[in-house]
Amino acid sequence: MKYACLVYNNPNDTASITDADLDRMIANWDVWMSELEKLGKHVFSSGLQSTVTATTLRKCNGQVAISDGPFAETKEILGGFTIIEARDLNEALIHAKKLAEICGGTVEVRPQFDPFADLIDPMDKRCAAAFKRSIENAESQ
Amino acid sequence: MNYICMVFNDPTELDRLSESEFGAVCRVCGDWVGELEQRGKHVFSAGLQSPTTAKTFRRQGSGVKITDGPYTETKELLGGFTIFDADSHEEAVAEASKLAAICKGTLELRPVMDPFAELSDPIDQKLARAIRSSMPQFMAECDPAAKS
Repeated sequence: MKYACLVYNNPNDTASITDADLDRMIANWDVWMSELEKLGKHVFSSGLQSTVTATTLRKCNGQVAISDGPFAETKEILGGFTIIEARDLNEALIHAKKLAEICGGTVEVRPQFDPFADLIDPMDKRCAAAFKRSIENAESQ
Repeated sequence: MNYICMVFNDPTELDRLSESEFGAVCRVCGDWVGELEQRGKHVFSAGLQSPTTAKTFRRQGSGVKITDGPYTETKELLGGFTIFDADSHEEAVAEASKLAAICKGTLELRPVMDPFAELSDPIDQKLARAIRSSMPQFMAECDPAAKS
């Protein structure tokens, strides 16, 4: 099963951290990621640029409205994420806890949506059923 | 340059869709990704399970506090994302506009962090310097000079 570790941080913290502390944090992150890589548990990682670079697109009255800035004006913002492979939630939580210790932000862990996985939430189940129907429809055409 | 297109939606709004509406949304969003794939522009996509499945890890003193539920208590939550390649910001916005017209929810588009790219924000520049100097293993994978 794949899990997303979403890292939220406060840009003011990054701005005020010393270069030496930032280097240490980044080096720890590098170790965390390469350990996952060696275990064959690393799927994909990406950092995101600051929210000053963000553009938000909303559909209003049938038209797409485009505005500068992030979707949500929160103090902490999504700064990046790693998708990991884990046997179960417990294993995912062990990796996520290590990340929370080193990354200088808050980590949210969520299982990746897989229409063929065992899903708990009723909305996810509906979504999986819709996905399967759309695959069947495409195959029958 | 790679851009991330994040989809934020309201689970209660999705719940109100009929089965056929739900299927139609899945199909058109799938087509959007398939079209990027055909043009060699698709990098990575993932959907996330509902916020009810989320756990949040916060630093507290020297330890980490784990709580059930998503990090943000907003009505609309990150439901999934696609990373794709675009030659310019305009091209990225045009691509994202296509998805915004067909998916349920609001999109946020942001360039991904590339330590070799020209970065406009001073915090991003600071972070890029730190990545270049302190992520030897990551850099070995993404350094364009090391690859060639």
